[in-house]
Amino acid sequence: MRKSVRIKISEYYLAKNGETIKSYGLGSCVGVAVWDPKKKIGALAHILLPASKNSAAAANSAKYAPGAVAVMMEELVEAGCEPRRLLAKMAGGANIFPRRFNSCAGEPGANLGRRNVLAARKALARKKIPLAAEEVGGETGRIIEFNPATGELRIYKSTGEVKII
Amino acid sequence: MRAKKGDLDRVQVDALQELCNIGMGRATTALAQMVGKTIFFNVPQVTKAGIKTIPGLIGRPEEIVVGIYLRFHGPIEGNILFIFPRESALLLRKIMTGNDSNELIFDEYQTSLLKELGNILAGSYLTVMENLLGMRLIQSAPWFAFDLTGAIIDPILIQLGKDTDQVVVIKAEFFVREDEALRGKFYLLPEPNSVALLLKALGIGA
Repeated sequence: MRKSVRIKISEYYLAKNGETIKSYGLGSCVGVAVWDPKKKIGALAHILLPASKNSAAAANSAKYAPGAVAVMMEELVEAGCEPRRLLAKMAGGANIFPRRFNSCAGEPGANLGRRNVLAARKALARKKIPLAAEEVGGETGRIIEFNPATGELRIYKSTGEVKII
Repeated sequence: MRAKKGDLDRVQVDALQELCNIGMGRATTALAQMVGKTIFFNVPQVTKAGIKTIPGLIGRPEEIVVGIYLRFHGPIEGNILFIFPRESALLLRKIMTGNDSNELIFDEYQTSLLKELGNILAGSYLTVMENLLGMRLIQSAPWFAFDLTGAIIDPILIQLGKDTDQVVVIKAEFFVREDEALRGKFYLLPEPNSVALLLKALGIGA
């Protein structure tokens, strides 16, 4: 069986030896995968926030979208990947306290997920990494598993639905 | 015990634990009156931990639960979260509405009832805090979620994570002894800037 490595919030992992990378319980957080399809090496980050007030501290931190994309790219290049061959996929950025349950205004998280998604797209664009596919937004939490060997991002929604992008 | 810089010391942990004890006493009394059962609670736990370890403290991130979330404002600010495992949420619904189906669909009426339950529990707890700390606290409307534990905690961690990587979590579990299925967890996560003030109000320097 293929080995699976589990990452937590604000962590990332680079899989060189055919492991898959898994993250549990993405709500408003986004999971961003970056990989080199030829080398079959890739990384996955569980991003908490779009950006930081303290930009210096955030530059290399996978807690933030720009930092996560930057560190993953750096390590992938270090591992011998070609920057212009890199592709990305992402999932997450949901609103976990949806309006159907919460008719009162100002529910938490309504924009948090969206802001994370926009920040991740921007960070990828800045590094010129094409976004091959995404499964974002909505009102359900997700468990995701990325397989760098195939580029497959498997999404298990809390509704029981499974999607592969 | 090893005490890192910025960690809570024994006296601080004890004070926060005791505050939670009294708050939980009041909240579980309110719950007992609503469900007509005696509610017990475990000794509260006070932890200061990194953001990435918080979902693990709340429960299995992949477990689907009911979460009721409130914020409170005032001289000190923070987040209150109630987590009810699936079976407990169904049981609470049964007690409060008479609906004993096993269906995992919560309509507007049922979510309102569970939110109101969260409202009353948080209100009881915060009243104790107000009295003991001598300050006025305002609580938000309750929000309802039915999702993965790890996903429900996200908005709170995003809120807290803006300013810090280290979060104080005050946790207590409550349950009905004769009825194992009825149990829930209470979490209080103060804003990072409120921790020192909270300790000061308790008469302990940070």
